[in-house]
Amino acid sequence: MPRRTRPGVIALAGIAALTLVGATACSSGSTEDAEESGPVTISFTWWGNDERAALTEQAIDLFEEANPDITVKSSFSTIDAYIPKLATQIAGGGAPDLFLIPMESVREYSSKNALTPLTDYIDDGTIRTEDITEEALKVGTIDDTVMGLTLGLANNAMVYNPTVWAAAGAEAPGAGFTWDDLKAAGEKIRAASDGKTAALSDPGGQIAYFEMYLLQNGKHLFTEDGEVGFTEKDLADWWTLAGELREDGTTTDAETTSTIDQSMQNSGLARGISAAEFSAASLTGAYSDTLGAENIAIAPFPTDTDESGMTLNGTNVAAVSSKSKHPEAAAKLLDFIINDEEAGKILGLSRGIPTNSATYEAISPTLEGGNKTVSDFVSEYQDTFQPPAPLAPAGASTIPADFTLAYEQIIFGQTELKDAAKATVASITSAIS
Amino acid sequence: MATIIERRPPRAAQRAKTGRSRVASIVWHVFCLALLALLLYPVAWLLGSSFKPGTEILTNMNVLPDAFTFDNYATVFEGVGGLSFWTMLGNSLLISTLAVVGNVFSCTLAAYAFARLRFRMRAPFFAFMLVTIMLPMHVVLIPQFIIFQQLGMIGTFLPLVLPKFLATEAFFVFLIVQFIKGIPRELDEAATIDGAGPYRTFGYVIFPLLTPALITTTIFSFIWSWDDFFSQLIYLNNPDTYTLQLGLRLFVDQTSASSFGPMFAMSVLAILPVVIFFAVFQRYLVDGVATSGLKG
Amino acid sequence: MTVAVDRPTDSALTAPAQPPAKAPRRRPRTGRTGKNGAAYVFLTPWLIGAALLTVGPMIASLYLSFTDYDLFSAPEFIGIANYQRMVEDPRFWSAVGVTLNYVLVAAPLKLLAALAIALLLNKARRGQGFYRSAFYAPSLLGASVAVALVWRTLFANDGVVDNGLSTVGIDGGGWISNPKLSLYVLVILAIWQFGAPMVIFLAGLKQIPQDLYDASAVDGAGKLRTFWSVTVPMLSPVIFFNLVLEVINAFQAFTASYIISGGRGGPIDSTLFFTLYLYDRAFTAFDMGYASAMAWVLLVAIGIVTALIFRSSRAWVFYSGEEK
Repeated sequence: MPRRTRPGVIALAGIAALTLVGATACSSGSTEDAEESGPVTISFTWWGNDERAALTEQAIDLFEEANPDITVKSSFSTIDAYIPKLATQIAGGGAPDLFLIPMESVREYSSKNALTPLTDYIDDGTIRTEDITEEALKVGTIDDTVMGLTLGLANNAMVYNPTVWAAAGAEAPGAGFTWDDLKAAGEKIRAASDGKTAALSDPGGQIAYFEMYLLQNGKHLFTEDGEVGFTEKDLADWWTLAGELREDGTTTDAETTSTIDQSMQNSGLARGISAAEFSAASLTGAYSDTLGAENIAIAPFPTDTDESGMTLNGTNVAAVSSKSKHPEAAAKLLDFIINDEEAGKILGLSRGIPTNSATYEAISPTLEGGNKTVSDFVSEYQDTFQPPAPLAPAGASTIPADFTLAYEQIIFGQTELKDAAKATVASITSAIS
Repeated sequence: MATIIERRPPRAAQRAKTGRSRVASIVWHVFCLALLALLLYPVAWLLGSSFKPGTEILTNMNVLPDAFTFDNYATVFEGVGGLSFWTMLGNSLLISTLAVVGNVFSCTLAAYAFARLRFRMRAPFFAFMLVTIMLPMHVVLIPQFIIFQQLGMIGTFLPLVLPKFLATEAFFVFLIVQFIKGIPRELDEAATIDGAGPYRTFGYVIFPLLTPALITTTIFSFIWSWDDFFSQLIYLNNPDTYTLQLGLRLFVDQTSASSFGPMFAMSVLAILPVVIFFAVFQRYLVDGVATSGLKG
Repeated sequence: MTVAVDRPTDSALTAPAQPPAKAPRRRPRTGRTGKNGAAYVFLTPWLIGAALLTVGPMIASLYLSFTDYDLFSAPEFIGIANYQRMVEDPRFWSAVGVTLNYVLVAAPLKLLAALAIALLLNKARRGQGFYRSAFYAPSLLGASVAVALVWRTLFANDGVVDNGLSTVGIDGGGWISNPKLSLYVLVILAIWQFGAPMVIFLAGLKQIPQDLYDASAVDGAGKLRTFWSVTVPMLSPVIFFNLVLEVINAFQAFTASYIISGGRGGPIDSTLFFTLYLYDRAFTAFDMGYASAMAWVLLVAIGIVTALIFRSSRAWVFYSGEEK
């Protein structure tokens, strides 16, 4: 009788071993099928909310009509669910043919050979680039090879509540607004609200706005070569500025700031805790839904230099998987989404300003509400936009969270500013090396 | 065999309560309701928010809306990102029902073996089973994903349902083991004397006495499967197979406009089936179980 | 009749005490050989499940803990480097502290709440079904985005809880935003969702034979005496079960922190649960090797604690199904 258990144990061990072999073997590539003609099925995943999903599905339906031998299996989720799912799919060998990559991970994916270069498809015309702006093309270009294309451009700006500002008698932000002007406004807004409302949600811990500050001072977060583009002193200056704003109440206090993150439900502006916020301008519509359109406006960042700190950067990069069995079909779909006029009209500004300038011109007159505000803003301030920052190097995915954590430790008094700045520069340098 | 006596105070006895226990009863009710008022405040807040327009949700801190509206619910029924609410509801129901069946079936069998039958590997197997609960699922996710990938099951409901039929939820095995251990051995022995083997003992003695455990298993299997967002996210690709949990989260995305109103509304709608399921099944957690028959 | 705690069993695993006529434990060969075979028949689904879905991935994850695995390329063996890095990682220790704190506070309180309410609801009264469902309702909300929003709003500075407590004179300032108190907001959320152990306690209470209560009444025992002499011992297997599982759950707490802190475990890592940090390492830092190492450290920790609870169960857990 006891012997019975041995086969059981052996079987278990055997299956375990097989699984291990399978696991390691799977991640190291599969054979490429030859391109076939005839019906083809590709998968496309993206992130977004329910509205964006509905619009994208419509665009895909159009594509399928125009290309009857290609079927597209689409899948979508919100951004926070998207990232682990995509990682699991790639690790498990089930990567979609066409997918979006968050900006901070593009180089990472590329350097790990997860993407198919698109040069061939551009050269043979599958992906048309005549109407795509230089800057848009540059977003997905790594070392002179186009590894992906962005589906839209967006800029960061200062979103504010003009009603609150006017009621407090503060001068509205606009071109030429300086940090001192912001401080003056902060005093008035605090006074008018019995100390409850700050002028601005504290941006000190958001690395995107540190980048803005660097741009205003002629520097970059990362250089073209993937090195750190700033010094300890730059970081200390930024945090010192943030500290001044915080101390005189212009920005939110430490505890309040820790409750604010990128989501709308935790936004200081949306909750009425602050009267302005640095944010993606494309969220104007979202803010309007929450506060009412008359209570939302966009302005350029405060600045003490000649530079605005604003750039028009990609919102994502769409790329073809390196393991895709039908890269050409995927490339066609990508081309359609970017270049097809009808698709462009459907998608509108849902992912940012369309990269196809013809499409953008065609839809501009039809824009309304939040989209129109954004579009007008871009037109008005276009000349002050600086060239977009280079792609973050591989290993940069963890940096935004670490940056915020370091700042929180400063504002809660756990570390000294100088020490934190030093440590942060060191950790950023080691993360990307 | 064993007699099962269901004990419930007869109606007449209830009505003939003395004055003192009447008062006690009222006190009890008042106390419970007060406690509930406190505990259910957040639930009430959730419910109230589902009737608030989008502009009020983040700013109005009260339970009741200033501007009552059904719009949120209307939006939900229009569909989420092109998906019909009813499709998602159906998917959730299907998966969860199958999960219940699977768990009740496989976990009871395994529990009986662990609790009543003696075999050499019992201790190591039981220990192993407990260990499976202790490992966070995120690190076995990718190897399991690969296995399902090899089996060609990705994108179907199978990765969500099949494991339930294979007693992989050690929680329920352990739960039922504990309940079986509460059933007196004398009953097993009585059955054995009557000539029953392990199968008959299981079928006629143990299984009928496991009602509370099985009801508990049923309730939790359903609810946990219903709420299992992460597995559903990883294994389901085609939006037509999306469950309520997946659809619900589509309303709130950081990179685009967030529709909190519909999100709350859908949350409420997503909880309703579970509440109904629970209310129906908890009724079977009745008084009294066997053993009185032993006296004879 | 007093029901004393019987001679305790070794643990849940070993065979119960047997009258001498029966065969000694270790040799299942004697007598019912069918029984041994039957065991494997009953275990078939479990064995398939274990072999196919559990053993392989567990061993794989153990192997991965000794590798550098970024999810894109094949894992690269690096020995115990991950474990060494863990020891020097301040955030790791921070997460350990937060999690231990949580386990020690949330698990017992949740069980006490569950037991108290279960006892309250045990008697058959009118509206029983309604009350059970109502007390269970918070747990039904699970870990939804909605709950996170509700909780954040309720516990915000100037939120309902803050205002409520101010009237009683307690000024906590921010709750969710205060690094010293933020963890306790999550503890309260955990306790609030006591429904699951409550239902299990209810089921366990239902299994206590009425004759024991009757006999106790005949002996003239009061309510408290009955509770300690009848209810607790008869309920002890269920208490034991709930304790083990709540402890394991508490160690693995993830979702509440994930949704309330937006995945960051803030402010300043004060709600950075161990599994949250693990998840972050796996899917944001693409450092699955390190995450796997963390997972196995957690497993060992939970295993030790569980083993201790099992050991202690000899002293206080009474299985009526195992009595002589």
